[in-house]
Amino acid sequence: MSPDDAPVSECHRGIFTIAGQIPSQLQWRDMTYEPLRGKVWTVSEGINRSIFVEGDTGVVAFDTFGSPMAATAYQLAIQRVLPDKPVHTVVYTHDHLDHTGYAADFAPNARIIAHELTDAVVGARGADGQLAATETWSGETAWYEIDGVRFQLVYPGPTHGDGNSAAWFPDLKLLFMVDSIIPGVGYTFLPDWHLAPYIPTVQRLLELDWDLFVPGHFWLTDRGGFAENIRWYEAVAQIAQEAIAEGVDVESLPEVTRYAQERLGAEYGHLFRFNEYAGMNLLRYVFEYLHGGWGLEGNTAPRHEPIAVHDGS
Amino acid sequence: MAAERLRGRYTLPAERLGFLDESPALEVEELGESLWTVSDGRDRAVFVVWEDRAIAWDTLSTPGRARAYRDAVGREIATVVYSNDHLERSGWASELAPDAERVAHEWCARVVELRGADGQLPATRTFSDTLEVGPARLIFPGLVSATGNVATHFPSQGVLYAPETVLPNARYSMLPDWHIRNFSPSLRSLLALDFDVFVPGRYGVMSRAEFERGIDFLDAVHDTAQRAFAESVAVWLFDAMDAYVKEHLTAEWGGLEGFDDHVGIMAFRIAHHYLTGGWSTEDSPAGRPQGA
Repeated sequence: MSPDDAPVSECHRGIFTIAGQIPSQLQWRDMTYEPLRGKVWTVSEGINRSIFVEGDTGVVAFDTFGSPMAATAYQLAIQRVLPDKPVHTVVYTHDHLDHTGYAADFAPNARIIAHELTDAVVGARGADGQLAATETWSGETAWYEIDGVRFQLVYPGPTHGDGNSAAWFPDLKLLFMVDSIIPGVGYTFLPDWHLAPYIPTVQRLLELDWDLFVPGHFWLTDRGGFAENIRWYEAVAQIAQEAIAEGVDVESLPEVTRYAQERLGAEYGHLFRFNEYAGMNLLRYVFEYLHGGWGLEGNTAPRHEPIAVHDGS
Repeated sequence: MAAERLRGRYTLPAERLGFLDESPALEVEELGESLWTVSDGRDRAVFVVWEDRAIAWDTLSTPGRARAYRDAVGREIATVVYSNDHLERSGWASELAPDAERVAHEWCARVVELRGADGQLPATRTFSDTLEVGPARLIFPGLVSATGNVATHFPSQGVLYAPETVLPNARYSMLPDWHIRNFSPSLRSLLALDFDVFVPGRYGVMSRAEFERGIDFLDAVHDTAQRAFAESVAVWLFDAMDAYVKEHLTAEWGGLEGFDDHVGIMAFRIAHHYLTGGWSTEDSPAGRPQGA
């Protein structure tokens, strides 16, 4: 069935093409939330995580969560914390539906800010529920002061998705970035990762002054946890090449998983979800070396110069 | 002075890269008048003899295998056609035929140039939709996998060559660099061509019926993975996804070689397409790379 044939149902459908109800889109998600620093809050349903910030008259929220019901739950969580303050601004970190797919359910009338690379995909995709940005930014950094909320958006280069950007709150020494660094081995087969530029690109974020990192999944970490996660990527990159050199059946997930356990388990086996995803992480890196990187994003040379810092004045 | 070792994207020390120079005996099989297929047992390519010179498709997967391919052709290679940008497909023209003309789809050529890998020489002639090369016609059918991946039709021999599309088995692994939204219509468009023999980029030569059944298998996995995610099978739990697709697909497709090891990760990849919305503009209705 083509997307045009799919019947309209009572919820936004993302890019599903099958007819009828989509139960996963209607599944309720309980949100937990907690204050972080200043007026920044973090919110999670146990897997995805985001932040929202109290402004003078309303709320600047990042992302939408990944289904119509999750977006609704996010909206209700904000209302519970800040009952008199509407979400007037949504910042998209990147284009993927599991983070920014449902502004139509979350805050349909809000101002939406996205990097131009993100908005290009959002516009081309035309997913049901994902609204286009009302304003875009370009280049590597953009400084915002919205309703008393001050932050710098940073696009450090290709990491994951299109236009994946960090939000840096210099006054609070807080950095938020989705689908890059997390505690452990949580990113399955590294979906839509751009591995050739990935490590040097995320390393650039260590040049900024922060000591609290909010990832897009699971729990918070610090500079040590950030650096530890980079070391995992470096190790997987090395072992993937050795798997190829040693003639492992590198197309087979079971074979690659066995090799990952054998070569990486002693040093990294304690990491969160190592047993589930170490093999998949390795499989993705194997193809990086066999293929040479995927598409333009996966073959873009990383930048190494310092990220321009706005002084906020 | 010894030449520096070719290494593609590998960063291992030179002494660990000996596998790149392995040069196994290749199997060469005639497919039709002046048309041959060559294989190292895994990867496969084709070449034709045309006006006393050869036109070779792709380079095989390593420098050593590219040199073995050159020897198997056994005459001057005037033209090398890149089916797509992947190094294991077209990464070693420097060893196969460094002075030959190199033909690629314009999107493939752009990635090759940006990558700048040491053995993968830039294209010298590009095209966007179709191009006649000797007795063959290059066709861009739309996005399937990789960047600028093209099929080649040999009408006189009734042969279609299209790497990184359909396989004679289920060994698709994580569908690496596949474009989930667009692969099926792109593949089915090739059925409009007149061919009896299909040459995949890996494993054995297939019939037209096997090619069509291969598309049916890919569609079945695609449809089942989407339904699994829609029905709230946890998209992050491999065992759950693997069990779901095997329950639904084993009866019809379980006989394909590699099914048990591969169908779970295929479905896992496809479910993530619906989770994320697809990857870049390639996986959108636009069906084009970023910025193209």
